[in-house]
Amino acid sequence: MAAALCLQHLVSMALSGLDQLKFLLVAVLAGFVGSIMGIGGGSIIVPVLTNVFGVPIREAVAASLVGVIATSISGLSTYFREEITNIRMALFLETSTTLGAMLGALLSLVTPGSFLYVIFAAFSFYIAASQAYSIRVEERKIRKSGFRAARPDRISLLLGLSGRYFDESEGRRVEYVISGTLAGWLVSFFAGVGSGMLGIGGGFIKVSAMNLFMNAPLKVAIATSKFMVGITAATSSVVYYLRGVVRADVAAPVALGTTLGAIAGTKVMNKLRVRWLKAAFSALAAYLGYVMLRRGLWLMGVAELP
Amino acid sequence: MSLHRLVYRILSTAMVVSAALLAAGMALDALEPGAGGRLVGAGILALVATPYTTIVAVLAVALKRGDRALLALSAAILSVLLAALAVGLLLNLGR
Repeated sequence: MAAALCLQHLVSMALSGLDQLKFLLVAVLAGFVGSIMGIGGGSIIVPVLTNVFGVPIREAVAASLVGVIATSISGLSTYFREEITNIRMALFLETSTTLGAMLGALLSLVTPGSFLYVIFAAFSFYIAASQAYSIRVEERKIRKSGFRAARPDRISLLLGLSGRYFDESEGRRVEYVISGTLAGWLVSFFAGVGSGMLGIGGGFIKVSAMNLFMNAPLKVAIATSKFMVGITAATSSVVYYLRGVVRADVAAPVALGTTLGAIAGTKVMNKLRVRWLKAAFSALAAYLGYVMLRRGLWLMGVAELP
Repeated sequence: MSLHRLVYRILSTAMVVSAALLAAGMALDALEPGAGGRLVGAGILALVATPYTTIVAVLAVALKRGDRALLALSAAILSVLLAALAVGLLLNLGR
């Protein structure tokens, strides 16, 4: 019965072993980057599967979503042992992301989204600039207990969102107080709309919502977002799975690769100096902003897609 | 058991089980095409089911502790996950 259920919704395996190995290697990279940055890695997997290997977009997205769940659940020992992942904050923000994703999916039925691509691009550039600008501020706040100095708002107090973690690169326990919960909730909602409408994972926006708007240290935001992306991906992947769009020969190497990559990535993340992490995050946001701007302008007929 | 420890146990078990099933399925398939399909299917199913299991476990902890905030949050997420499952099943019935 269970075996029948497993097979019933899967498209059979048909790709060569060499192609599967290539998928696996791409997925290792996606899992590694995803776990260090707190994103699912779909922005790496989907373009490679479609543009390089010619996998149809729906099947690429379906396989990518399974890979995102694998990234989300893999290599968690460090994040959970040192309590970097804030489960309550993840659940709080997940309520807005999933609502936003549902709205985004509905909006995608009535508008091509070109305008939204441009808005998201602008917001990504804002995130890139803010992350670069706040590198020294974050380091100072970690060293001088600045993350503890904020005043929690009512929602933060009610839900018990504040916490602490051990920062390996700084060799100290960092306490933080969560504030700005409404702003963070709304930004996460915005990330969810992007996820549902444009297929953008929204992980990097959620990380920034926590780090820039809610006073969460970047490493907490990354670990928490990593936990969240699996739940978000599950809402879409279950539909794809039951619809029979998940191709076993694509999803299996992708999921196995992201698992390996994420295990390696999580071992590295907390050892990294926050300044390098923020610089890399800023570069990622700028790159995603550029990709979205190109896509938006292409949909408007202003630019050609590379 | 702390919430972190419980969630960690669920997720790490799911990771080991799904990775083992996927690796075994791919290895079998390499030896004889089509032979590993069931194992791969079970591995993917394990991954898709993991967030559901996690949220149900968090909900159970919240109920046991009488933690209303955690209960409200996990119930909200679970209802969205179940709605997605219902949509998937309905679309599947329509085929």
